Amino acid sequence: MSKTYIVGIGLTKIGRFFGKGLRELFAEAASKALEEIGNENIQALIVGNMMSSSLSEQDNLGALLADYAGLGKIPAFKVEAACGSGGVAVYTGYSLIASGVFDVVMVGGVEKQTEYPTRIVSKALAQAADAEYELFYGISFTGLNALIMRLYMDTYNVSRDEMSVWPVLMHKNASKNPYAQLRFEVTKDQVAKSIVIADPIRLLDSSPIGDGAAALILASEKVARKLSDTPIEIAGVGMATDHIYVAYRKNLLSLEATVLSAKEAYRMAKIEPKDIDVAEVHDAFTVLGFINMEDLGFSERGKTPKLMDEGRFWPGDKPTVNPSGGLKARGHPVGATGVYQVAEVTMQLRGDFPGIKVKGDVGLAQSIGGLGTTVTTLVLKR
Amino acid sequence: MKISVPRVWREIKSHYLLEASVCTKCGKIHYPPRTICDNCKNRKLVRKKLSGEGEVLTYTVQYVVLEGYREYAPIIFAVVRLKEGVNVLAPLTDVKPENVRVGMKVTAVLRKIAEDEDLGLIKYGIKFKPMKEFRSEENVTYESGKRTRKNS
Repeated sequence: MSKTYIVGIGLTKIGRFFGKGLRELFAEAASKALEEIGNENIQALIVGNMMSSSLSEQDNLGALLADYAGLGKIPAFKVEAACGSGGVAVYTGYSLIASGVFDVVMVGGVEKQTEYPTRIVSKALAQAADAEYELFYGISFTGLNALIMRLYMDTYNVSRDEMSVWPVLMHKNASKNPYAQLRFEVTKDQVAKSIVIADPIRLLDSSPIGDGAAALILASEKVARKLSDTPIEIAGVGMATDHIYVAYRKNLLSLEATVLSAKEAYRMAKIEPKDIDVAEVHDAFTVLGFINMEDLGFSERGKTPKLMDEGRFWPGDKPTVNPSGGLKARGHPVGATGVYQVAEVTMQLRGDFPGIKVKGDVGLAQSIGGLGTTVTTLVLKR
Repeated sequence: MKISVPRVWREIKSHYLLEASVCTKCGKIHYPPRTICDNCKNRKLVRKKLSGEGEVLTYTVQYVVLEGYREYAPIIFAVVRLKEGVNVLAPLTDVKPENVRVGMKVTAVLRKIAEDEDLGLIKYGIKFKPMKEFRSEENVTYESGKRTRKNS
């Protein structure tokens, strides 16, 4: 099995780009990534995307983007796992290199969300849930997460203000990240007074709706050093799925797919949670941020808000969590998010992340599709 | 929203009657119903109507609703743990948002869920309503995520 390296990356800023569609966003990220490797030929393209079909009426995304980005008539396809599409795209690209099928592939992620009002985008996002038994009743994705947030606060006796440390830290980190969508700081008071989306989730507990694209170039051991002086190894990968009907799960305060995928990624990379210097985790909502830290083995159940309030996981600590600002404030261009995370961790390990820098050799990226229905965890090493 | 008649029709028993599937080998009850037991992989499952009685495990009051559900906003959604030990997600009805409590006893009733915007077709399903009317002097308050009992 070949070792797999990340040799090139390209990102767009995340935001509301009324002048750019799926193809323009993707081509921008792809071009930046190609420049990093001297415009070497790409053998295949894998694109993470959730809603091109439901919002942009665009299927057959692989062919469209390979063509538009000038990659030639190469194998190209989309992978979809709701908000976890990006992570699964990287997982797929990794598999294609590690298995020896290809030596150089591009893994892209792209999402175009801002064409329609929120209620229409929310409907498309809610398709991550069980269509017949959850979406049937009109529950949004925020609604599902709100059920978990109430249970978390109730079970561990955590107050509104204690929960707010997550968005406060994420906005602080994002304010330094030039790619981030929400580059401003917020206070606990602002979080507590922001409008209620689905009680107890407020606007500032939620990741924003935005457009964006990211691209990675993955290469085999054979060619990686020819394409980059600072290749970053994908040292461990794990993926797992869980019951899509959330109420079916025995424990609603842990995402088992995170636990299983992380276990596999740690085993492969021969590391433990304590070895990780920087982590980008999938905090679509405040409560998910805390649950992720607990599922990944960084802190104890129910203790994360308090620990974070005391300064744990802030820049300078090990691990530093979401120096990008996370989904909460860097933004969450759904199917592209998992690719952004891997690109950000890669930049941290290379030492050229343009925002808050974390010194270290080992990084982690966790990407979730649905409410913990599909999770990928990747460990990167310098 | 578009409503498909066959799509609603084929789920009628599970949506209207809360029909679950029970494994003939290990006895596990599945809701939503399945054809293969996820516990023991047995493929012989029988249908069983659930009681519809249980208590609220957690809930949310959803203010920002999806396309097609605007007229029902805000919608209260709950995970209800039924007497059989099975969890069901459904809206709550006949109760004000401020009167919902974790642990509240509820029972399933058949109600309208939504309407097709063009054809006027209606889809029905279960909602949960409180077993007894909530009285404001009852001794549980819910503030800032902390459940506390008065007089104790």
